[in-house]
Amino acid sequence: MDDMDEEVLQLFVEESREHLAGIEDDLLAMESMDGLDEDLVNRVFRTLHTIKGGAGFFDLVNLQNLAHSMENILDLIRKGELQTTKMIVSSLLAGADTVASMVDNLDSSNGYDISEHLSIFDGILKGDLASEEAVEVSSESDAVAEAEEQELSPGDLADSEQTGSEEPVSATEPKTTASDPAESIPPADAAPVSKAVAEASTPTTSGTKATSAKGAATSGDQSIRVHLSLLDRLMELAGELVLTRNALIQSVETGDPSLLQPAAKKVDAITSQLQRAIMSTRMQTIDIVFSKFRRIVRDLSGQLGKQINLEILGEDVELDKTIIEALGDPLTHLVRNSIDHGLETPAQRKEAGKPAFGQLRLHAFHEAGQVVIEVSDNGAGIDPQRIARKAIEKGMMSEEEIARMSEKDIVRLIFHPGFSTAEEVTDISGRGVGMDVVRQNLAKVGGVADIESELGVGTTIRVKLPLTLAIIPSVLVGISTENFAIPQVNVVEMVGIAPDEIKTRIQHVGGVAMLRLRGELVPLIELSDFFDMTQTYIDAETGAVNEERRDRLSDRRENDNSDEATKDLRRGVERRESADSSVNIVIVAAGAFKYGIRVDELHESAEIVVKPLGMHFRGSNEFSGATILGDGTVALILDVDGVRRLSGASESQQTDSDMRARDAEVERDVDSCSILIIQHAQDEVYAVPLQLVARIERFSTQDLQNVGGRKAISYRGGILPLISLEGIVSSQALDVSAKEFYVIVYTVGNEEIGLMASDIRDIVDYRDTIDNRTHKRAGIAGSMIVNGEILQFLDLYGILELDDPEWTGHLVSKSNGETGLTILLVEDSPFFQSQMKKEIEAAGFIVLTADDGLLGLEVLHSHPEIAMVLTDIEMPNMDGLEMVRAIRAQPKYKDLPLVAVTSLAGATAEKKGIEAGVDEYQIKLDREQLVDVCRRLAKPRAVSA
Amino acid sequence: MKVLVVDDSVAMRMIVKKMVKAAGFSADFIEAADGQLGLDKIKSDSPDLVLCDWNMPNMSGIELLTALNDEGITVDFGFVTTESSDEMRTKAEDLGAKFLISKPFTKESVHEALKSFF
Repeated sequence: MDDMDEEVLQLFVEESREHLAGIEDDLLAMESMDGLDEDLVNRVFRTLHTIKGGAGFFDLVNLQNLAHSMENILDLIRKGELQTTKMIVSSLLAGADTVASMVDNLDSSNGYDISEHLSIFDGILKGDLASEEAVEVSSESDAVAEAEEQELSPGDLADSEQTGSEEPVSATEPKTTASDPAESIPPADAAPVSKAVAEASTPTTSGTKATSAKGAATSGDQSIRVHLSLLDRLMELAGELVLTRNALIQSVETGDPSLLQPAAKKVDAITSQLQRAIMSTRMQTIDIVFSKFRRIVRDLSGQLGKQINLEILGEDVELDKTIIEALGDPLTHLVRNSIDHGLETPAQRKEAGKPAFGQLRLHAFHEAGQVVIEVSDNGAGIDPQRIARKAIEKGMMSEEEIARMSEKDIVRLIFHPGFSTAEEVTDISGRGVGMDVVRQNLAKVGGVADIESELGVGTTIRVKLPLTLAIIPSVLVGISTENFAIPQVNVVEMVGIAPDEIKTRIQHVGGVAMLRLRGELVPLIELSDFFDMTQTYIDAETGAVNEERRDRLSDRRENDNSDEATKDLRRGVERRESADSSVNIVIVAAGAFKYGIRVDELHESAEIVVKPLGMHFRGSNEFSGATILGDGTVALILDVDGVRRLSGASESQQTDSDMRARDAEVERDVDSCSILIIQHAQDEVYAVPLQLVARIERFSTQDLQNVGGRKAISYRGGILPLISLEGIVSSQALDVSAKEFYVIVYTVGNEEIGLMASDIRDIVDYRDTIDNRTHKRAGIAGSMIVNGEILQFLDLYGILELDDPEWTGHLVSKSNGETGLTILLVEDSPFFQSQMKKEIEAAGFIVLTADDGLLGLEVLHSHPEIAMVLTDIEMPNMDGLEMVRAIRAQPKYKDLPLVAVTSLAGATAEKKGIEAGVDEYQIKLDREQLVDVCRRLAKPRAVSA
Repeated sequence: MKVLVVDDSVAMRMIVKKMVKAAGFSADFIEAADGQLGLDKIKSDSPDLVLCDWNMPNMSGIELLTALNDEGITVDFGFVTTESSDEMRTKAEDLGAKFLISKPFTKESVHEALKSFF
């Protein structure tokens, strides 16, 4: 029939691909099965039968003939006239590969040379082919298929040849030396390995090629299967949307504003539901990726003479289609590494006292709102000494630096860009390149890889992935006249620096601006410098946007005099924002590296829809996409890793000892406390100590569930129990008129609890005293006045006990009897003193208090039974460190546990404390930690009067 | 004219439908993805003609035809397969199939096989 149109052809290709996707697994299952599974054989038979049929209609003679001859084999197997041997399965697998390749390239399929395949199948049919011989022929025909692939992309072969030789992580080969990477695995092995890899990944590669050659039309999954109930749900939501639109139109037409507000809220709610529903249509099970590894493991282990048991767990875990597609190559690389270098040969394993069969495990699971994929083997593991030697040889690390690193961190160096020997990455597939490319490819879809390895025991690589890429929570910022979005996952914190603090907090060293952040130095990046934006400021009087004429931070010509620099910065800042000339900085993390981005304006945090960048931005690493804001303007999404690379900022700046020294000079410990202000009802606001807050989330009231009689919410793959202040410390119900509420997540013991709030008001640095009398009651630790408003300071653990005494069982701090031990608490703030005293007493300790260091020493001397001292740092008369030094100066107190409690922990402060003789640092209001440290450290003292 | 196309492949069902149209006939098509579903459709929709694949999961074409005979359901029934053998032909005819269309499919051959039913 010559009038079969494109549509049918497309349908045929899609259907064939769908069938072929399962054929490999089915063939492998046939091989591993003892008896005959008729269903299985029938399924394979029908796949080939259907393809044969379709091919017949389209005059695809070659495809038809190959499918036909394979079908014949299966017919014999089905009838029980032919035994499934390894060799037959190998031939069928090879044939199926070619069939798949032909389906992907229908136009050229008649040009394929399938004579090798046909003669093998003929031989099998006639029963006159010795199996040994057949295997060889069959692998030769693989080579033919491979060569055909290579023709399309000549770079591949070279890459795959490198693959075997460059990999540095083989711990099983003692003769491997870093100086000669070509020897990393014996040459005899190298060829089959790379060949096997090329072969194993043929289906993927050919798919990609078809795409590039023929355009997107043939790129595999142009259609996707969606469950009917999901479509019903979408239809339902669309219906609701229509109703709401009608309400909106009516409101606009009648000019009745009272309709507007509820309609807008409804649009908001429906949109998020719609978004979630549509997102789930894009979700696919990870089995799509995992299943191809059965074949790869089978083929590779066979060629390397290794015995490997592949275990696949969590194959039904779902991820966004885009992420699934991007996972194939990096995971293949990881699996191949495990087989090549990780798992030993049976002989080697026996020698090491391990079972001959090596274990390779692929495990996907949900964890904290992300999907984790683990690739683990019980092979030889990675020798950190070897990695260290290589890192030193390559000049990546000095011996001194290595000496300071933990073994775990040394092993992590294999992800380091400089570690791989591949100089240039041409093939983005991740084949033939090192682990850094695996890491980079995963990073492109928001994935993070980590490695853990124990020499002789095995290696586990853990990949964390987001569920979806299409919509990401971000922080929107304004820099100059542009808006940028910074993905929330990269944001560590946001820092506002008051004008009078700029001088002490921002300094310039070697032309680089650094922010002093709790004793740490964080490099600052001025984006306008990199993106060639004109720095502007808004004239306070005219409101006009003017060009900024001050020096740019990194344009600094000669001096690195910090005073000059800060003056510059201040000048600019003061001009830009004359109202409150504070500097806003977003601290972001790119891997382990932190830096600050100075921003002019902090807008909101929002869920943004990621739009791909146009052609012109192809080569840019600094942006990962763009989004359209509510007002219609476009904001670029910053790739914090790319920006870091562009800026040239590196870790070394952070560990500069010179900077550390300067750091100490200006360090001052302010006794302040960051508090989060939350709203419960119309006129009820509460304060929560920010240090105890793990995260803040927003939910729709529709998401509320009732689990075992208490409110809860599905969250990050688990159930988060919720607690409401209603009926505990408030007589009012939670105000949820907005159909939404916030959840303040905090940790108790090992569990997370969510406190419900109707709104988040503010985060403030509170430096005044907290009133611990006026409003104190169960669940309320005290009160404070912020901006003229009285806030009740919540006792997060207290409200839990009030809410449900059963929870009390989870509290570490709950007393399990009197300990009889005495603890001295030295603290000048009455609020913190009484709070901590109460908490420690509740845990069964006797608490003595003192208001400053001098008094503390007195109490200590008169009470030899004191088993431990908890002290504040900032105190009048004698501060905590001075007191600690005085205590440590006396030999009899050399073993007395001394714990410092602060409201602001910082590395420098901590270092000073340790130098003075402090055993540990704790945060004042973290009751669980506080009680834990008392339990751990307080020991009865041998009293010697 | 109501024609039921029974084939487990969506592409093949579409091909069969196009083939019938290309041969110059017009019909209302209904479809079924295997023999069992085909049997259900024959009972519920009483098609005038059934074009059935040979090899299908759950219930093959021959099994469907046998079931029709067993239940005493009469309907014009023919096979459309990519391949045929004398053995298949004989079996189909024995069970009362009206025709067996196989390769090569041309407008003429399809027209010839189906003309008596339209």
